[in-house]
Amino acid sequence: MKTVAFWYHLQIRFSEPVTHHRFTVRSFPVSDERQEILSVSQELLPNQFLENGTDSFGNLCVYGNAEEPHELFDVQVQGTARLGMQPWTAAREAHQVGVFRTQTPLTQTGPSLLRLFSTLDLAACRGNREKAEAIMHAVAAAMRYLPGRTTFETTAEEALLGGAGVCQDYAHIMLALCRLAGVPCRYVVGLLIGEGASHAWVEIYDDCRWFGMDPTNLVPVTDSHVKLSHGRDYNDCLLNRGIFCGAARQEQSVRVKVEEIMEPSVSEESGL
Amino acid sequence: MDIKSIVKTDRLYWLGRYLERVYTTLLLFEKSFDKMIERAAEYEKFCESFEIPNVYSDAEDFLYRYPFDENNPDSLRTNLRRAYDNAIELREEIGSEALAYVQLTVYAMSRAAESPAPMGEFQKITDNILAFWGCIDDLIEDENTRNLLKVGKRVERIDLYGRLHMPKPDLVREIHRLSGRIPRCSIHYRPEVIVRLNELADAAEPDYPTIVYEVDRILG
Amino acid sequence: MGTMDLYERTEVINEWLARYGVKFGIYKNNTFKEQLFPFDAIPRILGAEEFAVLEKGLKQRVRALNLFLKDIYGAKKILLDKVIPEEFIYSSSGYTVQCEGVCPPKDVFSHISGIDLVQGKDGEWYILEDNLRVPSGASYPVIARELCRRSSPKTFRENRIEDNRNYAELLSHVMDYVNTGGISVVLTPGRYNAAYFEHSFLAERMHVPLVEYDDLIVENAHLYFIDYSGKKVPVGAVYRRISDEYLDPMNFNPESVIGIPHIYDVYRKGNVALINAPGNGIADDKGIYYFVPKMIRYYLGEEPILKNAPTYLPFYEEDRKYTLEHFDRLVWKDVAEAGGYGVQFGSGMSAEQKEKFIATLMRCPRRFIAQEVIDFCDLDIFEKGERVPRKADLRAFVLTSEEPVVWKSGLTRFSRNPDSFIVNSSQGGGFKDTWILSQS
Repeated sequence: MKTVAFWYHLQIRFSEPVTHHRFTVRSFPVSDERQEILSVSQELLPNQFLENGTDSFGNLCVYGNAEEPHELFDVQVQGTARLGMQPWTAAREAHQVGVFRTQTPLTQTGPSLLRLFSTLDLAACRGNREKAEAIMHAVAAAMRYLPGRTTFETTAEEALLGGAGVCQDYAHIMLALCRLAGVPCRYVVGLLIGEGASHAWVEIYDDCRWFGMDPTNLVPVTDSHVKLSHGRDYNDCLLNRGIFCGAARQEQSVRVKVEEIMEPSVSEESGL
Repeated sequence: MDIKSIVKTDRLYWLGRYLERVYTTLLLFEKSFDKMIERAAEYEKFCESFEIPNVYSDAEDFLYRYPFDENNPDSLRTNLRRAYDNAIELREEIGSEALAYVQLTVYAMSRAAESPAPMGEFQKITDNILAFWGCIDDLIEDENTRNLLKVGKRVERIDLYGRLHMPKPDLVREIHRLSGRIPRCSIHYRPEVIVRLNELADAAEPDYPTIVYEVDRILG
Repeated sequence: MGTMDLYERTEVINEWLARYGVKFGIYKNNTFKEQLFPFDAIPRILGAEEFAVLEKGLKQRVRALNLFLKDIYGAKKILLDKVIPEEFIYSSSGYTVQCEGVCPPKDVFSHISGIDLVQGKDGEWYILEDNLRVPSGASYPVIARELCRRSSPKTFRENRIEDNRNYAELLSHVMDYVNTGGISVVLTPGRYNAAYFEHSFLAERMHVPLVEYDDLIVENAHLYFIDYSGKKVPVGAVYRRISDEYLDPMNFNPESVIGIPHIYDVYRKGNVALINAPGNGIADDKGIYYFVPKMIRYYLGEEPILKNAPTYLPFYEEDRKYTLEHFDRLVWKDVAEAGGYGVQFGSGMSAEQKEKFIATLMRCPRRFIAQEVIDFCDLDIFEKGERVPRKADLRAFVLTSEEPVVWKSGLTRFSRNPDSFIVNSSQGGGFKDTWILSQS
């Protein structure tokens, strides 16, 4: 178990002012069995109209609109969290998670995925977790971590064919294979201890629980990951979705910092 | 309907304007049509007084293309098409009965274009436009809706009368009618234009070009 | 039954329909054209007892479909009990993940259900398909009835026919029932939509604004109509005549330019009713159709009153064997297509087409259903003064508020082509009024 301070900064710069901007930001951690959000604050600009919402996966969203011209869209989220209280989060019953057993356009299988799948010996595995672990190792063995080779639109099949990619590709390939094996699984976006960009991993369904697995780092998700959102694939977990008026080009940057801190002790809090 | 969007407000105004344009220009076209029996070149005068480009090769060309050419931006048919394009999106505002008269006008125009003797169909066009205005008064409960249509009609009439240098009493009457009507509807207009138009109407000799200029910038 | 007087006025009635602009739009070679919807004066007549059976069966069906929608986007008991295989849900284009866990106001999903039926030569009625998204067509019989009454009052004096001119009132009641507070509006994609006449006609009859996307705006948790002065008027119910896909670019297709950004977020919070509810496509999917009788038994514990046309799912081994053996006598439907497209008769395919079709079928059996060709009852129409038989179907409208109510009429469409079974207006068909005879 670890206590961390996290800081997340999303910025979109427009090459010229935009108006009638509508947005949905999906990057706010919530407490569950594995992570407890001890404190959180958010700052979003422009903030003419902001409203909290929850999407159909249960992710917290802030949506709104900004009518006046602006060249910057800026989201900062920071807080503290206790991680790894349990190695899982609660899930619905098996017949209610079928949507996560179904391939999406990004995880659609092709020859490369089917070939890799055929090399796996899953018959010997007991339960979904063991299957997923075998799959995770196969993904890690088949892929090289290499930024710049894939884009946000690269499918699992394309990434595997190329043999290289980033966390998003590792996650998509793992999802495709788990779904081929009949294991419900979902895409997760979050933050990893350290400094850098946002991270992606997967969650595996086993007996009414979701277990996090990080195929990029070949580890189970316990107390080093702060989860922001989950869905069927990358497209369900966009940190921000927006439309606006204006012919502006946009440049998005995400900066993340997560570091372990000493948990404030009870005596300090009570001031005795 | 008492709740109205800005788009519908505009459409009501423009429906009034285009129907009036078709109606008044058709009446004058019919007069020219008669004169052209003796004097073919009469059409040139017609174009001049309406300030429309004389793009016609001869009288015969004019007699077909001025009323019927769908590609001619000044033709009667094009103006009626514009009226219809507004009307079709106003069924719930003006009602199916009033809309039907615009529809019938469109059918009559199509038949006129096919006919060797279009005057009979032209009569149906004027009949239906008059029926439209009667229907508006009779069936539309919402005063604002009626007024928007009528403001469009008055503005168009002042514009046409100004271009055609119609006698002063006709112009004065139309300006007074518009002045009374326009504050009673939801269109955004420039009150100073109304003041100016009334001044112009009071002058001994109407300054036609200025009247046309002013009335065309009446909407705020 | 004295109806000759009415038939003699066919021409007058059609002239009247033209006067009122009773048209539908179609695109031919990429240009938009408005066409009159040809009306045939010979009505489809349903006796009171016959209608009572249909009414009971339709209510039962719509009740079950509503329960299914609530279940499938909620607890999913029907999957737990294995009445429908899971893959039929999640591989369907009608399944809408955004609807998971969202319950519409008053739990009504399908406010307006357009159920297509045909009558077999044996007199038996068969359900052909359910339309639970944006079914259209009710306005045509309403206005046709008005004009028929004007043309031939005698016919309506001498025959006791249920009045069908209350459709707008029924619809208003539904909208009021689910309205969350605010005005009701009809949302149209615009005048170049095939059914624009209907959109404007229903708005007129319900005395509500007909709006387009830019008349509505979401601010915070509510939807507003913007009037000419810029005032924001709260909206509590939207009868939207645009498909889910285009409804909200922030929640559905991001390319949509005719949607209202964030309207779905307002709906999700329960602050506006959308009529019909988004996500209904899962229940009127051609593949799911097969399971509707099972749903009726499952949710209501009743035997289905109305039959499906005999349908096979090549997805099941047993059905696949049967359908391949009897390929030629079946009609094949692609579950992804609508509007009369993607329908092929086994007997109508060349050897080459058939081979190609079967290859696709084997690769993707979930994509197709096969149905026995029903020898359905033709209805007479007038063609150049002669009475000739033509294929016809019936779209019944079921409006759901507290309870489902079957509108005492329907849209009877016929094919003008004597060899065609396809009656869709987009493919050149015409329509008839549908009379329900009164009890006494």
